[in-house]
Amino acid sequence: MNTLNILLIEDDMIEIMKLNRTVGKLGLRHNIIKATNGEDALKLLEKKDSLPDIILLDLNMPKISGIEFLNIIKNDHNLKHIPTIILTTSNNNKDLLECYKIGIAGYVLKPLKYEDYVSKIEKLLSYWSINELIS
Amino acid sequence: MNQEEIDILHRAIAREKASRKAAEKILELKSTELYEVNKKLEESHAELLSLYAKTNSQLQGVFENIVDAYVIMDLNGNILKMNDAAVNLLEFETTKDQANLMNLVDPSEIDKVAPKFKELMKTGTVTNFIIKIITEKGRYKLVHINASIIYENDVAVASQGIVRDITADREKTLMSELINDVAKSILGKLDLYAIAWEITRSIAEYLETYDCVIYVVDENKNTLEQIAAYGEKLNLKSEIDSKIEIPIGKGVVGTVAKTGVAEIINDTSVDSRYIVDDKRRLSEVTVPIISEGKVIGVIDSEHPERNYFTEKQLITLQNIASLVVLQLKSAMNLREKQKVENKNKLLIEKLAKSNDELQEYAHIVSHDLKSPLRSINALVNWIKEDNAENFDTSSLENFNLIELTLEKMESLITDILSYSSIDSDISESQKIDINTVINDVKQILFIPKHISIKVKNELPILNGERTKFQQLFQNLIGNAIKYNDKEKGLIEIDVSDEKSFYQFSIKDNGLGIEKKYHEKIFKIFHSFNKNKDSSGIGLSVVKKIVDLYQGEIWLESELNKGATFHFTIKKQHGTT
Repeated sequence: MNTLNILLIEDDMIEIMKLNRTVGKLGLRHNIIKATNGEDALKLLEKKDSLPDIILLDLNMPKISGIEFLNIIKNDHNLKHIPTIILTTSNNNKDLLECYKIGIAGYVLKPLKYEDYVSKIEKLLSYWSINELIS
Repeated sequence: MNQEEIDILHRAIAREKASRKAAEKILELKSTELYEVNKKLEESHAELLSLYAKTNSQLQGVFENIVDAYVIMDLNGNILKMNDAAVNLLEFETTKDQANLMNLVDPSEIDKVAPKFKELMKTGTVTNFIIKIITEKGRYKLVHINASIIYENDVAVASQGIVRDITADREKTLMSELINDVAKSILGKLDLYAIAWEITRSIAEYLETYDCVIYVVDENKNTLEQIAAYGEKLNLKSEIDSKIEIPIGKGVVGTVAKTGVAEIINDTSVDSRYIVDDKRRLSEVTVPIISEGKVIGVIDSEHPERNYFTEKQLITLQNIASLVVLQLKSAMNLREKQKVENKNKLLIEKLAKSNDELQEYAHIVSHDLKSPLRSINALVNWIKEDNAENFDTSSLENFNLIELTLEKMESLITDILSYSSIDSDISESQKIDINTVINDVKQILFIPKHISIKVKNELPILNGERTKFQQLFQNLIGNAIKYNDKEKGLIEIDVSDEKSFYQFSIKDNGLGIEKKYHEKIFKIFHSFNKNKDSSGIGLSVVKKIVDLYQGEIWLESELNKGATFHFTIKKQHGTT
C-alpha cells in the first residue's frame, strides 16, 4: 500500500476534521495537506517538487469555485496529470457533467451519516493507494 | 332793235326763266330734304338724350344695387366711394366712412400688394387677386378682387374694383381638402404616434397656424398625454420637446376633456384656465375626440393673434375628430396591447431568469442546509465514540433520535430540491419505455416480501424525460408500499390508450384515504400520515410532473380498503 500525499481543498472546518479523523481512525498513514480555498491550493501547487498524488476537491467554495479551480489545473501543463476527485454535497446533474467534461478521477457525494462517510473514504483511499501514481 | 334781236332776247329770257324754275325746283327739293334730315337729327338727339339719361340712371342703379362689394379708391388706396355691400364686407359703419384699403390687408400678406399694384398701373386691370384682410372689426376674411384704372384725359386718377368675400368658399375647399388629406394620410397606419402626427400636420396646415397638439387620455393617471405635435413644440429630431401632462379638468384642454364640449378662446390672456406650454399664444381652439360617449383625446391648436379661430374651423375640427376616432381608438388599443405584450415579454424573460436562478439557488441552499446536518452528524458520532462508556442507554437513545431527526431533515431538503427542479429543463424529451422505468423503480425501492407488484398490461413508450417518469412512478408506488397495512399487499399498475393520451392507474389495498383529503394530498407539505419518512412533498411532485405533461390526476379510495391513483399523460405535449 502506497502512502498518499493528499491535497484536500475544503472550506468547512468540520469536513477537514472528518477526513483527518477518518484517516486516523482507519490507521492509514497518508499525508493530508489542507487548503481552505482554491487560491491557497494554487499557491501550494506552485512548488513543483512536492506535488500531491491526488486532490480531493469540494465544489462549493468561496473566491474561486471548485469548477473554476478544476479548469485552472486541467489547463496547466504541470498539474493536469494529478487525479482529482470531487467530494461534494452537490448532486446537481449540471455540475456532475461539467466536472467529467473537464476531467476528473471521481465524483463522491458526501453522505449525511458519519459512518457512511468513513466507509466511502476508506474505499476511495484504498483504491488510490493500490494505483501506480506519478511522483 | 330788230326782231332778231328781240327774239334772241325773248329766247334768252325764256331760258333764264326755265333755268330759274329748275333751280327753284331743286332748291325746294333740297330744302325739303334738309328739313327731313334736320328732323331726323332732332329725333335722334332726343333719343340719344333719353338713352344717355337711361344709361346713367341704370349705372347708378347698378352701382347701388350690385351684390358684390364695389369700391372706388384713389391711387393711394383711400376709399372714395363704396356701395352697401362693400360696407358689409369690410365691416364699416356707413358708405361715408373714411378708410384706406391698404390698412385692411393682413400684415402677413402685405408683400403681395405691391406687385399687384404695379400690374394694375401698367396694364390697367387686375383680375383674380386673392388676399387675406382683417376687417374694421378685427375679423379675418379672404377676398377676391377684380380691379381696373379710371382715366381722365388719358391720365390715371383712381381705381375701381369689385371685391368678393370667398372666406366661406375657401373654407369649404380647405375643409374638404383637409378631410381628404387626413383620411388619406392615416389610411392603413396602425401606429398611434404616426396617425396623430399626420392629423396634427394636416390641421396645422389647414388652420394656417404653426401649432397643433393631440392629447390622449391616460385613464390610470387621469391625465392627458401629448402624443403628437406640429410646429414649434417639435425639436430638430421631430420629437416633442418637454412633453407636458395635463390633469383632466385643468386648463382649457383639461376642461374640454372633462366636459366633452369644444371651445374657442378668442383671447387667452383673459382666460384664467390657460396653461402656457412652450409659449403663450392668444387664440386657442380645442376639440374633444369622443368615442362611445367618452372623451379619449383632445385636438388643440393655438395662434399668436387674438380672435383667430372661427366657428367653421371649430366644426371642421369636430368633423376631423369624428373621422379619426375609430382609427385612433384602435391604435390606442394596439399601443396598450403592445405595452402589455412588452411587459409580458419582460416578465417572461424575468421569470425564466428567476426560474434559472431559483434552480441554482435551490441547489446552493440545499448544499448549505445539508452541510451543517452532516457536521452535526459527525460531531454527535465523535462524542459518542469518544465517550462510549460514559453514556447510559437513554442518552444513547437520544443520540439515535438526533440522527433520525437529521435524516428526516435531509430527506426533506432533498425532496424540496427535487420538487423545485421539476419544471427546470424539459427540453430533453426522449422516447421512454415505461416498462423499463417500472423495473428500475422496483430495483430502487425496498419492496417488503408481503407486497407484490403486478403490471396488468403492456406499458407504453412515452415522450418525455426519464428521470421525471421515474420520479412519478417511484413516488406513487413508494406510497402504495409505505401505506400498506395488509398481510398480503397488492399493487396493480394498469394503462389504457385514450387516443390523445394514456390513462394510468396504480391500485393498492392499503390504508386508503378519506374523501375529504383527496384534494389536499396533492398540496405541498401536506402529509396524510405523520410518518418519519414522509416529508409531504411526494404527491406534490407527482402532481407537478403530471401537470408538466398536460395530464390530470385523481384518486378513488375507500378507507381501509385501499386507493387507486389515476393519472393521464398527453401523447403530444408541448415539451418536445
